[in-house]
Amino acid sequence: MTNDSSTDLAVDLADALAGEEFYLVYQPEIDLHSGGFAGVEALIRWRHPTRGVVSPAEFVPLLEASGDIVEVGRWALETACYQGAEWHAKGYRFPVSVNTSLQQLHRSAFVGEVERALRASRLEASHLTLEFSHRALGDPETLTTLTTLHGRGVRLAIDNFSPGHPDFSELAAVPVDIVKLDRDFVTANTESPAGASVIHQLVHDARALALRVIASGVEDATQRDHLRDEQVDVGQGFHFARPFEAQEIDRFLQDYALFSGRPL
Amino acid sequence: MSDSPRAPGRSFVLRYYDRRREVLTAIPHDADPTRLYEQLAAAALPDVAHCLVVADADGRVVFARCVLAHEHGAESCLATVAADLDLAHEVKESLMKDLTSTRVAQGAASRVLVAPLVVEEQAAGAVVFARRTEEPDWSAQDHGTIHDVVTALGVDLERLRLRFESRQALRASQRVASQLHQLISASLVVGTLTDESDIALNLVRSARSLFDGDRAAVVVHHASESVVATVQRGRIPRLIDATLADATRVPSARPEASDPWVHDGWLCAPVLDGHDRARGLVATHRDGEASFTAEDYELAMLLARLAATSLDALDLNRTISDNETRLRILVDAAPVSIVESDDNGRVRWWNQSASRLLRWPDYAVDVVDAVRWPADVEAALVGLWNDLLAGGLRDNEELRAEVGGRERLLALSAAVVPTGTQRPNILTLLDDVTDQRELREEVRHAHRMELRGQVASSVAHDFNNLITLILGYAELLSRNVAGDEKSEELVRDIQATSSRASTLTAQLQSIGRTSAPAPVSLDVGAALGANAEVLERIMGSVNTVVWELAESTPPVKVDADLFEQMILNLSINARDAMPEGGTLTFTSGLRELDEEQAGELGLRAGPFVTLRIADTGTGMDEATRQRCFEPLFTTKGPFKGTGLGLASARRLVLDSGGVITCSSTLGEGTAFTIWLPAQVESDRSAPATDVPVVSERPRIPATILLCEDDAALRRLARQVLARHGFEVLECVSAEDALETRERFGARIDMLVTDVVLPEMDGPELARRLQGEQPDLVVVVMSGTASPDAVAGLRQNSASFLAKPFKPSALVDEVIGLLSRRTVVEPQEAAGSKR
Repeated sequence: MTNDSSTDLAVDLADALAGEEFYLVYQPEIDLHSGGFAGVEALIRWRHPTRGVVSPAEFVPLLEASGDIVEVGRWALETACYQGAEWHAKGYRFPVSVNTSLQQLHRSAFVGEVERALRASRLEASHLTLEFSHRALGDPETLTTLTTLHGRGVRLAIDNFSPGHPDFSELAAVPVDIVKLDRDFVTANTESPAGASVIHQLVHDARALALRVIASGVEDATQRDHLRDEQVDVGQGFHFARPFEAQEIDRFLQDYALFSGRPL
Repeated sequence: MSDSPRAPGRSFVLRYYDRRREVLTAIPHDADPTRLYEQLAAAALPDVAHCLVVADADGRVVFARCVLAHEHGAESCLATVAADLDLAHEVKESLMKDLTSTRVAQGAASRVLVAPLVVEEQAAGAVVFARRTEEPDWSAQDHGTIHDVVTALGVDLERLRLRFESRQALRASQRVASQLHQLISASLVVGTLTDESDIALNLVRSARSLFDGDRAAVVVHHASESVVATVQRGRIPRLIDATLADATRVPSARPEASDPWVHDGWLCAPVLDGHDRARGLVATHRDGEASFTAEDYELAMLLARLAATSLDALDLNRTISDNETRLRILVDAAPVSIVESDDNGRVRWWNQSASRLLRWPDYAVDVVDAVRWPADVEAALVGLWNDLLAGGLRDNEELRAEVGGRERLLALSAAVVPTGTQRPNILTLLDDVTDQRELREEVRHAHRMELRGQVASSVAHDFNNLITLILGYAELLSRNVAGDEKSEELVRDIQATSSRASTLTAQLQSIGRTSAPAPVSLDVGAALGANAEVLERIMGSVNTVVWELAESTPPVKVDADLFEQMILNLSINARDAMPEGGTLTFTSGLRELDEEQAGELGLRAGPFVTLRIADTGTGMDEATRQRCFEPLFTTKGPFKGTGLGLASARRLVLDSGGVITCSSTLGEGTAFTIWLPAQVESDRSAPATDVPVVSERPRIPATILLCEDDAALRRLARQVLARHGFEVLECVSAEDALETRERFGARIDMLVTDVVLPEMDGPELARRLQGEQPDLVVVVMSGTASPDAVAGLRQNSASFLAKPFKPSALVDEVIGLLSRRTVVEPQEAAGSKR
């Protein structure tokens, strides 16, 4: 990517929210043991008027740089809550996971924004999971925000987790429910017996803190079987499903039972 | 690829079974048989055949795979076989002959084995396995193996279709369950909402997701406005301004429609009110060809009905809440104190009146625990509550208690309020009746005064008769003692004393009079003069009465008795205001008021007779002065004043077209000024003062029927009348009078009668007699009745004589009437004589 195109993109990005060019896709998360539907992660996409769909890897850093990530993040939160409530109204009982930037978490207004989004959409707090980087735990104010939200029933997940970054001992004192294993970490540790023991230890540590473990980037059945054998709870990746727009998720869900989410 | 030896054996069957399992266990997204054909081909090629074709029942090729496909393509390989053999023919042959057996057909380059494909016991087509002619011929084992595998394929195709269909059914039932869930969730949510916008926003979500539309709209008409909510797939619902361009994307309503309709990709359902009038619209849009089903119509109607129900509920809630507000305001504003407590008396709620009475703060949730019943009140209430809770009935109780630092008289009552639990609440009503009770005492006092007045009045009646007698006999006596100066003086003393007694009884009578005012022309100066003696006596010796009366003032039109009573009342007030003694000054005069002056007093311009009554007493403060004309307002305390005096004075003056004003200075005195319109010349009549005694009276021969039950009075009247030459027939009652007249036979000119007689009264007797003899003239005498007593009699034929009267007054009245009468002579049809 050249500087020029990056600048152009940044200019276009400024109008993208007002122009309703952003949309959310949802990637299913599957229970590795029952095969049931365990949730979705909402992922942002940008349908550029001329370039077509732009990768988040390209535009999210630009949003973070401009600070627009706060506005766009709020839109994503509200939209995901509405969508989650809609599935809830249809009879499904799975949480919707929303990525949250450090800039959002750092603002004192964030708790209010989450509460408003939940109230407006009528999504139960326990059906919303906020995913954020472990770096959020380093900031006392952000930690306060997270603790407040956790107290309201919102579930918290550490994104792109790999052991040591942070260490499990650091998680003992913070309000986190889920660790989401980093894609590269999953790839690296599902191919060898040594990797299996790493994951085994990780799951053991997570259990000790009553944390749920979700593996992202599950690409094939072999990986899936490995992770399942090591008692990882949930998998997410192309092996199960790519990210879908909401109505495609509806079709995907046709083969899962209402309420329980078990495969039909 | 090299030619492999044709040794299919059981391994072909196993290979197929192994491969088809994955197809049959995967989630069936469709019933496409191709995936099974693929597995069959993969298992069969190249070991069993070099080319595999699946044909339908008509012999049309639906699937083909060849070993050489990657070299020449399936088409070319198939083309080779097809060029060699008529495949359609071979398939049909096979299906016609025997569905259970395979057959072989030989071409120039290929040798094919045709296996009928039976699905659900029907010939569905055939599977053709082709070998090149140079390859080994089809063995019996090949026939058997291929027959088994193709039979299995037929069964698998059926299973695949059944699995797909059952999965479809499962999905459909899930979809219906999900839609019902959505409808129920929507109704639960919408039922809790409190305004039209929220209802529209929530319904529009349901409308879109229920039908999996790409967008949806909900329109709700409310009052004179329309609320429009829209949503697009993946977006948040929002309200749009019904007047803006955005709204053009919302389908338009059909006011007459009562069923759903589809227009331009929109499925629309009308939201109907209780009278089947459209009050809104629920609409969902689907792109493309995806059409709406009958079920969708039904669901749309359900959703519209849900909208209607929630809107109705909202209206109802509003009405209830309005009523509640109204009731709450009413209860809060009620003059009675209302307190709600639990069954232990712990206060839960109270109204504003209770706040004032009990000196509690205004009701608020956080002060509930701080308020306590006053000890006296609670002690009395506990008994009341316990009786009430025990199911007993208690009449309202009264309690004198110290409340808010003052002793008050409270009327207590209570009612049980069911709470739906074992322990009801109690509503206690406390009415502060202290003022009301005082007022009642005052009214009672006023009644007592009135009763006393009536008693006095009736006693006065009897006294009047006696005084009349005394006066009469004194007059007779004066003639008998004419010339005896000593005796004449004594008689004059008797007459003077009797006159004074007569004046006093007249005053006594006026106290109890309650009849309607009878305004007459009254000379204010004369009326005061006539009462001067009484007034001075009332004022007592410590006070001085000063008369500053104008020489002559025009008469005013006012009820003479009430006027006197008013003067009396004002004088008594003045006396009471001057306990140490002082001066009461009566000043009369005539004032001409112009528009402006009259306007200030609320009068019309013109001449007014004024009467100012000023004392040098204690005076009134401003507050008292402002209220002094209010009925029952008194500063004298219970049992002393009625509080009616000034009020009735004001009423009388106002009724007479005038005004009474008051000025007062504390410590200096009070002055009341009465303004009464002066009568103009035209409506004056003779002032109600004594008619001067006419010494020379004409003698008119006449027969008078005298009816009076008091023997002494009757005798006096007879003597007086007889002395003036009249023939007098005496009788004691109306019956007696009628009989006497019958007996007398000749003409009777006049009836002189008392009002109060046993059985038939005087006026009635007079009417009876006048009915028979229209020119009969009548004098009615009474000590208590008003001049109205003669109202029913013929005009100019009757007059009223108030007792006590001097004999000369009776004679004057009789002669006056007789000289003015109209005599109807029998020989004249009609006529008048003066």
